[in-house]
Amino acid sequence: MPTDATDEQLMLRFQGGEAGAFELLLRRHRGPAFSFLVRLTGDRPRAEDLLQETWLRVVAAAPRWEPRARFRTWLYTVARNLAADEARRRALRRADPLDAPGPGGASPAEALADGAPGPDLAADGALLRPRLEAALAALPEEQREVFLLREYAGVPFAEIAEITGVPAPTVKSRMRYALEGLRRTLEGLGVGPGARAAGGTGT
Amino acid sequence: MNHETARELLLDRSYGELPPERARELEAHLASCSGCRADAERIEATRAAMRRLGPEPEPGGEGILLAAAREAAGKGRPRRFSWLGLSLAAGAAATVAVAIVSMWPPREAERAEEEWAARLPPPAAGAFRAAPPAPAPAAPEAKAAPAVLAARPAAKALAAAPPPPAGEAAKAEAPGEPKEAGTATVERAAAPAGLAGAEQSGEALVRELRARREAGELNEARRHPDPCPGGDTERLAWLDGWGKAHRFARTGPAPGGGTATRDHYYDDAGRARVVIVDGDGPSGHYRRRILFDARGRRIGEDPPGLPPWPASDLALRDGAAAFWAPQRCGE
Repeated sequence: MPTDATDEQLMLRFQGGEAGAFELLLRRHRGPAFSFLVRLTGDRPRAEDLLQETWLRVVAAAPRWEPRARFRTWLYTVARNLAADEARRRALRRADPLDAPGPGGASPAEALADGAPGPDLAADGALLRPRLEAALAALPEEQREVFLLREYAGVPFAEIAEITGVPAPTVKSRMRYALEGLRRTLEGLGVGPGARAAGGTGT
Repeated sequence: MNHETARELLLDRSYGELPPERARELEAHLASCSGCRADAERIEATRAAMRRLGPEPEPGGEGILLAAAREAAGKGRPRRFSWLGLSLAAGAAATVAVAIVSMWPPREAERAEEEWAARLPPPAAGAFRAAPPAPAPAAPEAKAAPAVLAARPAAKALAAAPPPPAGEAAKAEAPGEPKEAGTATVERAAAPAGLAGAEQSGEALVRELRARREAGELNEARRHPDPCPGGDTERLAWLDGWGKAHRFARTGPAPGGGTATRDHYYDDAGRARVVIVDGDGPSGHYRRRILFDARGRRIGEDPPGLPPWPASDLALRDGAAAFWAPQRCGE
């Protein structure tokens, strides 16, 4: 089976009864979709549930799918809406403004900022990752989702506008705020571009 | 090109979304504008830092999806999963001790379910059936998808799954499958409206399912998952002849502390319509009843006035999948 088929072609073949086409879609998009959900929710077990639910809905709705909009747009719309729905309920339940509490329950950025090691330590891979995650978690959700979709999922701005249901200029302005917020948080955590320059150790 | 325009285009530039002509204009502006260059460099530096976050390691569970896809592809009727079969195929739950209290010949169960389904409040499927045939696909960038997206905020709550991209409003609202003959023709308008109606429907559903269970039409299965912190201590399901769960209850730690049993009753489309949460928390014993409509939207919670019980803690679809799901440890 050629693997250079577009997502939409694969989806049509899946509609035609070819389960292998679905497997290719899964291989292509499951990982990125999971990264998206983990970072959007800040909660791995929840992200696992959401991921499974997202794909089950894809399977279930496949017969009614039509190749007008991109498969990827659809997939992330499902994933994002499932996550947003849960986040809304969670936010209502706890009057907690941060919907992505860190491992300790406190804001991850704050937790990590305490006694943050210098750039040398932060550059270490094992320590870098939680800091980058904390920087993401510190973003407001509407900025975070835009950044995740564009930076890691590779979704163009126009598609992000469809997924999030806001106009493209709004998407871009959220993206600008996201990048600005990340830059500031990273600097505060000792892994910002500025900090890296100051540390000068590279890796 | 002014600064404002240039600033807006910096993102497109960074992500390679700028048409060549626009890109040339922007580069010309950048050459003469140090402020804009600094902006561009900040973007690139922040992106470079964030790109060092690699992909998340993928979780398991792929087997279930592939089995679901195979079953869907094979049958051409993807909504009729046999969850029992799926779980066994995936090998996930095959080794778990299960007590099937009673078995019922599938044919009889099927007849019983058809009769039962015909008496149930009609699910949302009516809307789906009523939807006009989809217009012929036109240009790939047709307006249908944005229109649907724009319409979504009205339909909030659990109707989180968007329609297939080409769906129309009516179609979009029907994640539920078309029903078997006999229910599909029932008009949705016949369902009692509002909270009172939902209570009636919910009570009727619970009564009906209990009657079916007492009549032996549903098999009761229990699991005692391996004990682990944060995990379920007990699960119960009422399964029909196809392995579909009509009731699923699990006991385990509650989100607010303490322990609770979440008891879900599902309609014919596999959606939880009634959930009863019975638990003991820091402030003593409590009991809550949560009602959902045929589209999965939460329409009422009893006692009222409390923050809604988190949906993430409930199994609002596919009770059988939840019943068979591997134990999740830790919180």
